[in-house]
Amino acid sequence: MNDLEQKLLKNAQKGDIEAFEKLIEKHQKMVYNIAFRMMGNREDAYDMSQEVFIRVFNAIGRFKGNAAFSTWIYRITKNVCLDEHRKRKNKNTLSIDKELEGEQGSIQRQLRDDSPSPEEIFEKKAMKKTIQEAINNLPDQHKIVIILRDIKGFSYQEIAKIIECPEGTVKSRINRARKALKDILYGNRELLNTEYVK
Amino acid sequence: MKECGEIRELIPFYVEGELSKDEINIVKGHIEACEECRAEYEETKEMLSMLKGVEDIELPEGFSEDLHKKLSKESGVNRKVIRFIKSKYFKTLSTVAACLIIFIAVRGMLDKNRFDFRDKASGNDEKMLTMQEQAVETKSIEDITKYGNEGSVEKMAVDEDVCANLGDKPEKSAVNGSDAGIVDVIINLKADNPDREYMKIAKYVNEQEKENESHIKSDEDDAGSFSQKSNTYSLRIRNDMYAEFENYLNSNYASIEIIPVSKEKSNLDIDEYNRQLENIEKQINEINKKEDSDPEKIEGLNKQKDMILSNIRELEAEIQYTNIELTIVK
Repeated sequence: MNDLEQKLLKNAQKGDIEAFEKLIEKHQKMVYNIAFRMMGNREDAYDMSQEVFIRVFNAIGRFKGNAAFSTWIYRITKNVCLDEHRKRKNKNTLSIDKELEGEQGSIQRQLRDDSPSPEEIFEKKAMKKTIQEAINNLPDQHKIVIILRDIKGFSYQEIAKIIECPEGTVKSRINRARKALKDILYGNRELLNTEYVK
Repeated sequence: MKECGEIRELIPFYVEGELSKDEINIVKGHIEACEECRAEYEETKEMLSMLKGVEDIELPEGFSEDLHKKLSKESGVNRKVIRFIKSKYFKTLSTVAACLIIFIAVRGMLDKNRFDFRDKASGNDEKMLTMQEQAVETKSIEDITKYGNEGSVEKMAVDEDVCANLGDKPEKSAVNGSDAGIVDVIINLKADNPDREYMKIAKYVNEQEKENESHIKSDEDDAGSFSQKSNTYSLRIRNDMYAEFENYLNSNYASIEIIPVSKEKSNLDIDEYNRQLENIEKQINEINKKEDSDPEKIEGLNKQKDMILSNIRELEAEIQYTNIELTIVK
Protein backbone atom coordinates (compact mmCIF):
# COMPACT_ATOMS: atom_id res chain seq x y z
CA MET A 1 0.00 0.00 0.00
CA ASN A 2 1.51 3.32 -1.02
CA ASP A 3 1.31 6.61 0.87
CA LEU A 4 -1.74 7.84 -1.01
CA GLU A 5 -3.58 4.60 -0.29
CA GLN A 6 -2.59 4.77 3.38
CA LYS A 7 -4.07 8.23 3.53
CA LEU A 8 -7.22 7.13 1.72
CA LEU A 9 -7.52 4.21 4.10
CA LYS A 10 -7.29 6.47 7.14
CA ASN A 11 -9.96 8.76 5.76
CA ALA A 12 -12.16 5.85 4.74
CA GLN A 13 -11.88 4.51 8.27
CA LYS A 14 -13.29 7.81 9.48
CA GLY A 15 -16.30 7.30 7.20
CA ASP A 16 -15.19 9.28 4.15
CA ILE A 17 -17.09 7.64 1.28
CA GLU A 18 -15.11 9.30 -1.49
CA ALA A 19 -11.81 8.15 -0.04
CA PHE A 20 -13.27 4.69 0.28
CA GLU A 21 -14.38 4.69 -3.33
CA LYS A 22 -10.95 5.71 -4.54
CA LEU A 23 -9.40 3.00 -2.43
CA ILE A 24 -11.55 0.21 -3.84
CA GLU A 25 -11.63 1.42 -7.42
CA LYS A 26 -8.93 -0.89 -8.70
CA HIS A 27 -10.36 -3.93 -6.92
CA GLN A 28 -13.89 -3.62 -8.29
CA LYS A 29 -13.34 -5.52 -11.51
CA MET A 30 -11.50 -8.36 -9.80
CA VAL A 31 -14.21 -8.71 -7.14
CA TYR A 32 -16.92 -8.67 -9.81
CA ASN A 33 -15.12 -11.30 -11.85
CA ILE A 34 -14.47 -13.60 -8.91
CA ALA A 35 -18.12 -13.25 -7.96
CA PHE A 36 -19.17 -13.92 -11.56
CA ARG A 37 -17.24 -17.19 -11.64
CA MET A 38 -18.50 -18.14 -8.19
CA MET A 39 -22.16 -17.36 -8.87
CA GLY A 40 -22.28 -18.28 -12.57
CA ASN A 41 -24.32 -15.30 -13.78
CA ARG A 42 -23.95 -11.54 -14.09
CA GLU A 43 -26.97 -10.60 -12.05
CA ASP A 44 -25.83 -12.42 -8.94
CA ALA A 45 -22.26 -11.29 -9.51
CA TYR A 46 -23.50 -7.70 -9.45
CA ASP A 47 -25.45 -8.11 -6.23
CA MET A 48 -22.63 -10.01 -4.54
CA SER A 49 -20.01 -7.44 -5.50
CA GLN A 50 -22.15 -4.61 -4.17
CA GLU A 51 -22.64 -6.54 -0.96
CA VAL A 52 -18.87 -7.16 -0.72
CA PHE A 53 -18.06 -3.46 -0.84
CA ILE A 54 -20.79 -2.56 1.62
CA ARG A 55 -19.35 -5.14 4.02
CA VAL A 56 -15.85 -3.84 3.41
CA PHE A 57 -17.05 -0.31 4.08
CA ASN A 58 -18.76 -1.28 7.33
CA ALA A 59 -15.78 -3.29 8.52
CA ILE A 60 -12.99 -1.02 7.33
CA GLY A 61 -12.60 0.48 10.80
CA ARG A 62 -11.52 -2.95 11.96
CA PHE A 63 -8.99 -3.45 9.16
CA LYS A 64 -5.66 -3.56 10.95
CA GLY A 65 -3.41 -4.06 7.97
CA ASN A 66 -2.25 -7.51 9.06
CA ALA A 67 -3.06 -8.78 5.60
CA ALA A 68 -2.83 -6.87 2.36
CA PHE A 69 -5.92 -4.78 1.69
CA SER A 70 -6.59 -6.69 -1.53
CA THR A 71 -6.30 -10.05 0.24
CA TRP A 72 -8.79 -8.85 2.81
CA ILE A 73 -11.27 -7.73 0.13
CA TYR A 74 -10.99 -11.03 -1.76
CA ARG A 75 -11.47 -12.93 1.47
CA ILE A 76 -14.70 -11.02 2.05
CA THR A 77 -15.69 -11.71 -1.57
CA LYS A 78 -15.24 -15.42 -1.00
CA ASN A 79 -17.26 -15.22 2.24
CA VAL A 80 -20.12 -13.26 0.67
CA CYS A 81 -20.44 -15.75 -2.19
CA LEU A 82 -20.22 -18.80 0.04
CA ASP A 83 -22.75 -17.30 2.46
CA GLU A 84 -25.15 -16.73 -0.41
CA HIS A 85 -24.76 -20.31 -1.64
CA ARG A 86 -25.39 -21.56 1.87
CA LYS A 87 -28.51 -19.43 2.18
CA ARG A 88 -29.83 -20.69 -1.12
CA LYS A 89 -29.11 -24.28 -0.28
CA ASN A 90 -31.22 -23.80 2.82
CA LYS A 91 -34.03 -22.36 0.78
CA ASN A 92 -33.55 -24.95 -1.95
CA THR A 93 -33.74 -22.33 -4.66
CA LEU A 94 -30.47 -23.15 -6.31
CA SER A 95 -31.33 -25.08 -9.39
CA ILE A 96 -28.72 -27.14 -11.15
CA ASP A 97 -30.48 -26.48 -14.42
CA LYS A 98 -30.33 -22.75 -13.99
CA GLU A 99 -29.08 -21.20 -17.18
CA LEU A 100 -25.50 -20.19 -16.88
CA GLU A 101 -23.74 -17.50 -18.78
CA GLY A 102 -20.37 -17.78 -20.33
CA GLU A 103 -18.81 -15.17 -22.52
CA GLN A 104 -18.66 -16.33 -26.10
CA GLY A 105 -15.42 -16.83 -27.89
CA SER A 106 -13.00 -16.22 -25.10
CA ILE A 107 -12.01 -19.81 -24.60
CA GLN A 108 -11.74 -20.91 -28.17
CA ARG A 109 -9.09 -18.35 -28.88
CA GLN A 110 -6.85 -19.95 -26.32
CA LEU A 111 -6.89 -23.37 -27.89
CA ARG A 112 -3.87 -24.57 -29.80
CA ASP A 113 -4.00 -23.47 -33.38
CA ASP A 114 -2.87 -26.57 -35.23
CA SER A 115 -5.65 -26.74 -37.83
CA PRO A 116 -8.01 -29.08 -36.03
CA SER A 117 -10.18 -31.64 -37.75
CA PRO A 118 -13.99 -31.10 -37.85
CA GLU A 119 -14.35 -33.54 -34.99
CA GLU A 120 -11.88 -31.55 -32.95
CA ILE A 121 -13.67 -28.31 -33.71
CA PHE A 122 -16.91 -29.82 -32.57
CA GLU A 123 -15.23 -31.16 -29.47
CA LYS A 124 -13.71 -27.83 -28.57
CA LYS A 125 -16.93 -25.94 -29.09
CA ALA A 126 -18.63 -28.38 -26.81
CA MET A 127 -15.90 -27.88 -24.25
CA LYS A 128 -16.09 -24.12 -24.40
CA LYS A 129 -19.73 -24.36 -23.51
CA THR A 130 -19.04 -26.96 -20.89
CA ILE A 131 -16.20 -25.29 -19.02
CA GLN A 132 -18.34 -22.60 -17.42
CA GLU A 133 -20.98 -25.15 -16.48
CA ALA A 134 -18.30 -27.48 -15.19
CA ILE A 135 -16.94 -24.79 -12.90
CA ASN A 136 -20.43 -24.05 -11.68
CA ASN A 137 -21.03 -27.68 -10.86
CA LEU A 138 -17.98 -27.92 -8.62
CA PRO A 139 -18.48 -27.77 -4.85
CA ASP A 140 -17.80 -24.28 -3.48
CA GLN A 141 -14.53 -25.22 -1.85
CA HIS A 142 -13.20 -26.50 -5.19
CA LYS A 143 -14.66 -23.67 -7.19
CA ILE A 144 -12.93 -20.95 -5.21
CA VAL A 145 -9.43 -22.44 -5.55
CA ILE A 146 -9.86 -23.09 -9.28
CA ILE A 147 -11.04 -19.52 -9.81
CA LEU A 148 -8.26 -17.97 -7.77
CA ARG A 149 -5.44 -20.16 -9.05
CA ASP A 150 -6.26 -21.32 -12.56
CA ILE A 151 -8.40 -18.44 -13.82
CA LYS A 152 -7.06 -15.46 -11.91
CA GLY A 153 -3.50 -16.74 -11.43
CA PHE A 154 -3.04 -15.95 -7.73
CA SER A 155 0.01 -17.56 -6.09
CA TYR A 156 -0.49 -20.42 -3.68
CA GLN A 157 0.70 -18.17 -0.90
CA GLU A 158 -1.88 -15.49 -1.69
CA ILE A 159 -4.64 -18.08 -1.95
CA ALA A 160 -3.63 -19.50 1.43
CA LYS A 161 -4.11 -16.03 2.91
CA ILE A 162 -7.41 -15.43 1.15
CA ILE A 163 -9.04 -18.68 2.14
CA GLU A 164 -7.15 -18.84 5.45
CA CYS A 165 -5.71 -22.32 5.07
CA PRO A 166 -2.10 -23.50 5.19
CA GLU A 167 -0.40 -23.58 1.80
CA GLY A 168 -0.18 -27.37 1.95
CA THR A 169 -3.94 -27.58 2.32
CA VAL A 170 -4.42 -25.21 -0.62
CA LYS A 171 -2.23 -27.41 -2.82
CA SER A 172 -4.01 -30.63 -1.93
CA ARG A 173 -7.39 -28.94 -2.31
CA ILE A 174 -6.54 -27.59 -5.71
CA ASN A 175 -5.31 -31.01 -6.80
CA ARG A 176 -8.66 -32.49 -5.86
CA ALA A 177 -10.50 -29.62 -7.51
CA ARG A 178 -8.61 -30.06 -10.77
CA LYS A 179 -9.26 -33.77 -10.75
CA ALA A 180 -12.97 -33.12 -10.25
CA LEU A 181 -13.05 -30.50 -13.01
CA LYS A 182 -11.15 -32.74 -15.39
CA ASP A 183 -13.56 -35.56 -14.71
CA ILE A 184 -16.49 -33.31 -15.58
CA LEU A 185 -14.85 -31.91 -18.71
CA TYR A 186 -13.20 -34.97 -20.19
CA GLY A 187 -15.85 -37.35 -19.01
CA ASN A 188 -18.18 -35.28 -21.18
CA ARG A 189 -15.83 -35.37 -24.10
CA GLU A 190 -15.71 -39.13 -24.07
CA LEU A 191 -19.48 -39.15 -24.10
CA LEU A 192 -19.52 -36.73 -27.00
CA ASN A 193 -17.03 -38.81 -28.92
CA THR A 194 -19.08 -41.95 -28.66
CA GLU A 195 -22.39 -40.27 -29.34
CA TYR A 196 -21.69 -37.88 -32.16
CA VAL A 197 -18.37 -38.37 -33.79
CA LYS A 198 -18.84 -41.89 -35.07
CA MET B 1 10.79 -45.00 -11.09
CA LYS B 2 7.83 -43.54 -9.32
CA GLU B 3 4.32 -44.94 -9.53
CA CYS B 4 1.84 -43.45 -12.00
CA GLY B 5 -0.34 -42.30 -9.10
CA GLU B 6 2.45 -40.19 -7.66
CA ILE B 7 3.32 -38.77 -11.07
CA ARG B 8 -0.29 -37.74 -11.65
CA GLU B 9 -0.31 -35.79 -8.41
CA LEU B 10 2.65 -33.84 -9.76
CA ILE B 11 1.45 -33.31 -13.34
CA PRO B 12 -0.59 -30.12 -12.74
CA PHE B 13 2.31 -28.56 -10.84
CA TYR B 14 4.62 -29.69 -13.65
CA VAL B 15 2.42 -27.88 -16.17
CA GLU B 16 2.46 -24.76 -14.01
CA GLY B 17 6.23 -24.90 -13.59
CA GLU B 18 5.94 -25.20 -9.82
CA LEU B 19 8.25 -28.20 -9.40
CA SER B 20 11.90 -28.49 -8.46
CA LYS B 21 14.47 -29.46 -11.09
CA ASP B 22 14.66 -33.03 -9.81
CA GLU B 23 10.89 -33.41 -9.88
CA ILE B 24 10.69 -31.95 -13.37
CA ASN B 25 13.17 -34.56 -14.61
CA ILE B 26 11.25 -37.38 -12.94
CA VAL B 27 7.90 -36.31 -14.41
CA LYS B 28 9.39 -35.60 -17.83
CA GLY B 29 11.06 -38.99 -17.96
CA HIS B 30 7.91 -40.73 -16.87
CA ILE B 31 5.49 -39.15 -19.30
CA GLU B 32 7.83 -39.85 -22.17
CA ALA B 33 7.72 -43.52 -21.29
CA CYS B 34 4.13 -43.93 -20.07
CA GLU B 35 1.35 -43.40 -22.56
CA GLU B 36 -1.46 -43.06 -20.02
CA CYS B 37 0.33 -40.44 -17.99
CA ARG B 38 1.19 -38.62 -21.17
CA ALA B 39 -2.52 -38.45 -22.04
CA GLU B 40 -3.19 -37.22 -18.52
CA TYR B 41 -0.53 -34.57 -19.01
CA GLU B 42 -2.03 -33.44 -22.33
CA GLU B 43 -5.50 -33.15 -20.84
CA THR B 44 -4.26 -31.26 -17.81
CA LYS B 45 -2.25 -28.91 -19.97
CA GLU B 46 -5.25 -28.25 -22.19
CA MET B 47 -7.59 -27.71 -19.26
CA LEU B 48 -5.24 -25.33 -17.47
CA SER B 49 -4.66 -23.34 -20.63
CA MET B 50 -8.41 -23.06 -21.15
CA LEU B 51 -8.92 -21.87 -17.61
CA LYS B 52 -6.10 -19.38 -17.98
CA GLY B 53 -7.77 -18.13 -21.12
CA VAL B 54 -11.10 -17.44 -19.46
CA GLU B 55 -11.34 -13.71 -19.95
CA ASP B 56 -12.53 -11.06 -17.56
CA ILE B 57 -15.93 -9.54 -18.07
CA GLU B 58 -16.39 -5.80 -17.81
CA LEU B 59 -17.90 -4.12 -14.80
CA PRO B 60 -21.52 -3.21 -15.68
CA GLU B 61 -22.33 0.43 -16.22
CA GLY B 62 -23.59 2.27 -13.20
CA PHE B 63 -21.90 -0.12 -10.77
CA SER B 64 -20.02 2.63 -8.94
CA GLU B 65 -22.99 5.00 -8.89
CA ASP B 66 -25.23 2.31 -7.49
CA LEU B 67 -22.65 1.47 -4.86
CA HIS B 68 -22.26 5.13 -3.98
CA LYS B 69 -25.98 5.40 -3.23
CA LYS B 70 -25.87 2.33 -1.04
CA LEU B 71 -22.80 3.55 0.82
CA SER B 72 -24.36 6.95 1.48
CA LYS B 73 -27.42 5.23 2.84
CA GLU B 74 -25.28 2.88 4.91
CA SER B 75 -23.23 5.67 6.41
CA GLY B 76 -26.46 7.59 7.13
CA VAL B 77 -27.86 4.59 8.97
CA ASN B 78 -24.66 4.22 10.96
CA ARG B 79 -24.73 7.84 12.00
CA LYS B 80 -28.35 7.53 13.04
CA VAL B 81 -27.54 4.45 15.11
CA ILE B 82 -24.67 6.24 16.82
CA ARG B 83 -26.84 9.27 17.54
CA PHE B 84 -29.52 6.98 18.92
CA ILE B 85 -27.06 5.16 21.18
CA LYS B 86 -25.85 8.47 22.56
CA SER B 87 -29.37 9.72 23.24
CA LYS B 88 -31.04 9.76 26.69
CA TYR B 89 -33.89 7.72 25.28
CA PHE B 90 -31.52 4.87 24.57
CA LYS B 91 -30.07 5.01 28.09
CA THR B 92 -33.51 4.65 29.66
CA LEU B 93 -34.41 1.90 27.24
CA SER B 94 -31.21 -0.04 27.86
CA THR B 95 -31.73 0.14 31.63
CA VAL B 96 -35.21 -1.29 31.23
CA ALA B 97 -33.85 -3.97 28.91
CA ALA B 98 -31.10 -4.88 31.38
CA CYS B 99 -33.68 -5.31 34.16
CA LEU B 100 -35.74 -7.52 31.87
CA ILE B 101 -32.74 -9.66 30.98
CA ILE B 102 -31.88 -10.19 34.65
CA PHE B 103 -35.47 -11.14 35.33
CA ILE B 104 -35.48 -13.64 32.46
CA ALA B 105 -32.11 -15.03 33.56
CA VAL B 106 -33.43 -15.64 37.06
CA ARG B 107 -36.52 -17.32 35.67
CA GLY B 108 -34.32 -19.40 33.42
CA MET B 109 -32.26 -20.53 36.41
CA LEU B 110 -35.36 -21.77 38.17
CA ASP B 111 -36.42 -23.67 35.07
CA LYS B 112 -32.96 -24.94 34.28
CA ASN B 113 -33.81 -28.61 34.42
CA ARG B 114 -36.21 -28.24 31.57
CA PHE B 115 -33.49 -27.30 29.12
CA ASP B 116 -31.65 -30.02 27.37
CA PHE B 117 -30.31 -29.19 23.96
CA ARG B 118 -28.02 -32.11 23.49
CA ASP B 119 -27.27 -32.75 19.90
CA LYS B 120 -28.19 -36.28 19.00
CA ALA B 121 -25.62 -36.51 16.25
CA SER B 122 -22.61 -36.08 18.45
CA GLY B 123 -21.78 -39.78 18.50
CA ASN B 124 -19.30 -41.36 20.87
CA ASP B 125 -18.43 -38.21 22.69
CA GLU B 126 -21.99 -37.99 23.84
CA LYS B 127 -21.57 -40.52 26.65
CA MET B 128 -18.60 -38.67 28.04
CA LEU B 129 -20.37 -35.38 27.74
CA THR B 130 -23.53 -36.71 29.30
CA MET B 131 -21.47 -37.61 32.35
CA GLN B 132 -20.01 -34.14 32.43
CA GLU B 133 -23.42 -32.65 31.99
CA GLN B 134 -24.75 -34.62 34.88
CA ALA B 135 -21.98 -33.19 36.99
CA VAL B 136 -23.04 -29.73 35.93
CA GLU B 137 -26.68 -30.43 36.44
CA THR B 138 -26.22 -31.94 39.88
CA LYS B 139 -24.32 -28.89 40.93
CA SER B 140 -26.88 -26.50 39.53
CA ILE B 141 -29.73 -28.41 41.07
CA GLU B 142 -27.98 -28.08 44.40
CA ASP B 143 -27.73 -24.36 43.89
CA ILE B 144 -31.30 -24.08 42.79
CA THR B 145 -32.61 -25.99 45.76
CA LYS B 146 -30.43 -23.91 48.03
CA TYR B 147 -31.86 -20.66 46.76
CA GLY B 148 -35.10 -21.83 45.22
CA ASN B 149 -36.47 -23.02 48.50
CA GLU B 150 -35.84 -19.72 50.09
CA GLY B 151 -37.70 -18.20 47.17
CA SER B 152 -35.91 -14.92 47.45
CA VAL B 153 -35.57 -13.26 44.11
CA GLU B 154 -33.20 -10.58 45.38
CA LYS B 155 -30.83 -13.18 46.64
CA MET B 156 -30.90 -14.88 43.26
CA ALA B 157 -30.15 -11.63 41.52
CA VAL B 158 -27.19 -10.96 43.79
CA ASP B 159 -25.83 -14.37 42.85
CA GLU B 160 -26.06 -13.67 39.18
CA ASP B 161 -22.38 -14.30 38.74
CA VAL B 162 -22.93 -17.77 40.05
CA CYS B 163 -25.46 -18.42 37.29
CA ALA B 164 -23.23 -17.04 34.64
CA ASN B 165 -20.36 -19.26 35.68
CA LEU B 166 -22.34 -22.39 36.34
CA GLY B 167 -21.67 -23.51 32.80
CA ASP B 168 -17.92 -23.47 32.99
CA LYS B 169 -16.68 -24.12 36.44
CA PRO B 170 -17.94 -27.59 37.27
CA GLU B 171 -17.46 -28.61 33.68
CA LYS B 172 -13.79 -27.75 33.69
CA SER B 173 -13.16 -29.86 36.73
CA ALA B 174 -15.03 -32.71 35.10
CA VAL B 175 -12.99 -32.33 31.98
CA ASN B 176 -9.56 -32.43 33.58
CA GLY B 177 -9.39 -36.15 34.06
CA SER B 178 -10.52 -37.25 30.64
CA ASP B 179 -9.00 -37.32 27.20
CA ALA B 180 -12.24 -36.45 25.49
CA GLY B 181 -12.28 -33.13 27.28
CA ILE B 182 -9.18 -31.65 25.67
CA VAL B 183 -9.84 -28.08 24.69
CA ASP B 184 -7.69 -26.52 21.98
CA VAL B 185 -9.51 -23.25 21.67
CA ILE B 186 -11.86 -21.30 23.90
CA ILE B 187 -14.23 -19.02 22.05
CA ASN B 188 -16.37 -16.46 23.83
CA LEU B 189 -19.19 -14.81 21.97
CA LYS B 190 -21.75 -12.21 22.80
CA ALA B 191 -25.19 -12.60 21.29
CA ASP B 192 -28.70 -11.57 22.25
CA ASN B 193 -30.07 -15.03 22.11
CA PRO B 194 -27.43 -17.70 22.94
CA ASP B 195 -29.69 -20.63 22.15
CA ARG B 196 -30.58 -19.29 18.75
CA GLU B 197 -26.94 -18.48 17.96
CA TYR B 198 -25.94 -21.95 19.03
CA MET B 199 -28.51 -23.44 16.66
CA LYS B 200 -27.18 -21.21 13.89
CA ILE B 201 -23.57 -22.20 14.48
CA ALA B 202 -24.50 -25.88 14.80
CA LYS B 203 -26.30 -25.67 11.51
CA TYR B 204 -23.31 -24.01 9.90
CA VAL B 205 -20.96 -26.71 11.18
CA ASN B 206 -23.24 -29.47 9.90
CA GLU B 207 -23.47 -27.85 6.51
CA GLN B 208 -19.73 -27.47 6.33
CA GLU B 209 -19.38 -31.14 7.03
CA LYS B 210 -21.80 -32.00 4.28
CA GLU B 211 -20.08 -29.71 1.84
CA ASN B 212 -16.74 -31.31 2.54
CA GLU B 213 -17.92 -34.87 2.29
CA SER B 214 -16.89 -35.01 -1.30
CA HIS B 215 -13.28 -34.38 -0.32
CA ILE B 216 -12.89 -37.10 2.22
CA LYS B 217 -14.57 -40.35 1.56
CA SER B 218 -13.82 -42.15 4.80
CA ASP B 219 -14.93 -40.90 8.16
CA GLU B 220 -18.29 -39.73 6.92
CA ASP B 221 -19.96 -40.49 10.21
CA ASP B 222 -17.26 -38.80 12.14
CA ALA B 223 -18.47 -35.29 11.54
CA GLY B 224 -17.82 -32.27 13.70
CA SER B 225 -20.03 -32.54 16.72
CA PHE B 226 -21.81 -30.33 19.13
CA SER B 227 -22.91 -30.79 22.64
CA GLN B 228 -24.36 -28.24 24.97
CA LYS B 229 -24.11 -27.56 28.64
CA SER B 230 -25.68 -24.39 29.97
CA ASN B 231 -24.39 -21.59 27.72
CA THR B 232 -21.10 -23.36 27.05
CA TYR B 233 -20.93 -25.70 24.10
CA SER B 234 -18.33 -28.31 23.28
CA LEU B 235 -17.65 -28.58 19.64
CA ARG B 236 -15.04 -30.22 17.53
CA ILE B 237 -14.32 -29.37 13.99
CA ARG B 238 -11.94 -30.76 11.41
CA ASN B 239 -8.66 -28.87 11.32
CA ASP B 240 -8.90 -28.23 7.62
CA MET B 241 -12.20 -26.50 8.22
CA TYR B 242 -11.28 -24.69 11.38
CA ALA B 243 -9.78 -21.59 9.80
CA GLU B 244 -12.93 -21.10 7.81
CA PHE B 245 -15.04 -21.60 10.89
CA GLU B 246 -13.07 -18.95 12.75
CA ASN B 247 -13.48 -16.67 9.80
CA TYR B 248 -17.21 -17.31 9.75
CA LEU B 249 -17.48 -16.36 13.41
CA ASN B 250 -15.31 -13.28 12.94
CA SER B 251 -17.41 -12.02 10.10
CA ASN B 252 -20.69 -12.64 11.90
CA TYR B 253 -20.04 -11.54 15.46
CA ALA B 254 -18.77 -8.19 16.52
CA SER B 255 -17.96 -9.22 20.06
CA ILE B 256 -15.81 -12.31 19.93
CA GLU B 257 -12.82 -13.60 21.81
CA ILE B 258 -10.72 -16.51 20.57
CA ILE B 259 -8.21 -17.98 22.99
CA PRO B 260 -5.99 -20.85 21.79
CA VAL B 261 -5.30 -23.20 24.72
CA SER B 262 -3.33 -26.32 23.91
CA LYS B 263 -1.55 -26.47 20.62
CA GLU B 264 0.89 -29.25 21.50
CA LYS B 265 -1.89 -31.77 21.06
CA SER B 266 -3.11 -30.59 17.71
CA ASN B 267 0.24 -31.11 16.00
CA LEU B 268 2.32 -28.93 13.77
CA ASP B 269 0.82 -28.49 10.39
CA ILE B 270 2.16 -30.06 7.24
CA ASP B 271 3.93 -26.90 6.17
CA GLU B 272 5.98 -26.88 9.34
CA TYR B 273 6.97 -30.52 8.86
CA ASN B 274 7.94 -29.81 5.29
CA ARG B 275 10.15 -26.99 6.51
CA GLN B 276 11.84 -29.30 9.00
CA LEU B 277 12.28 -31.89 6.29
CA GLU B 278 13.99 -29.41 4.01
CA ASN B 279 16.27 -28.42 6.83
CA ILE B 280 17.35 -31.97 7.53
CA GLU B 281 17.89 -32.71 3.86
CA LYS B 282 20.10 -29.67 3.65
CA GLN B 283 22.14 -30.88 6.62
CA ILE B 284 22.52 -34.33 5.07
CA ASN B 285 23.68 -32.81 1.80
CA GLU B 286 26.24 -30.67 3.58
CA ILE B 287 27.64 -33.61 5.51
CA ASN B 288 27.82 -35.68 2.33
CA LYS B 289 29.87 -32.96 0.66
CA LYS B 290 32.53 -33.09 3.38
CA GLU B 291 35.28 -35.63 2.85
CA ASP B 292 35.33 -37.00 6.37
CA SER B 293 31.56 -37.50 6.65
CA ASP B 294 30.36 -39.13 9.83
CA PRO B 295 28.12 -42.12 9.01
CA GLU B 296 26.56 -42.12 12.47
CA LYS B 297 25.50 -38.54 12.13
CA ILE B 298 23.94 -39.21 8.74
CA GLU B 299 22.15 -42.21 10.11
CA GLY B 300 20.75 -40.10 12.95
CA LEU B 301 19.56 -37.46 10.53
CA ASN B 302 18.01 -40.08 8.28
CA LYS B 303 16.10 -41.45 11.24
CA GLN B 304 14.80 -37.97 12.00
CA LYS B 305 13.83 -37.62 8.36
CA ASP B 306 11.89 -40.88 8.44
CA MET B 307 10.11 -39.79 11.57
CA ILE B 308 9.00 -36.51 10.01
CA LEU B 309 7.92 -38.31 6.85
CA SER B 310 5.80 -40.72 8.82
CA ASN B 311 4.31 -37.81 10.76
CA ILE B 312 3.38 -36.12 7.52
CA ARG B 313 1.83 -39.31 6.22
CA GLU B 314 -0.13 -39.71 9.42
CA LEU B 315 -1.31 -36.12 9.26
CA GLU B 316 -2.42 -36.56 5.70
CA ALA B 317 -4.14 -39.84 6.37
CA GLU B 318 -6.21 -39.03 9.39
CA ILE B 319 -8.59 -36.21 9.96
CA GLN B 320 -7.44 -33.97 12.75
CA TYR B 321 -9.84 -32.12 14.93
CA THR B 322 -9.75 -28.92 16.87
CA ASN B 323 -11.70 -29.11 20.10
CA ILE B 324 -13.54 -25.93 20.86
CA GLU B 325 -15.23 -24.73 23.98
CA LEU B 326 -17.74 -22.15 22.85
CA THR B 327 -19.40 -19.88 25.37
CA ILE B 328 -22.21 -17.63 24.22
CA VAL B 329 -23.31 -14.94 26.62
CA LYS B 330 -25.84 -12.19 26.33
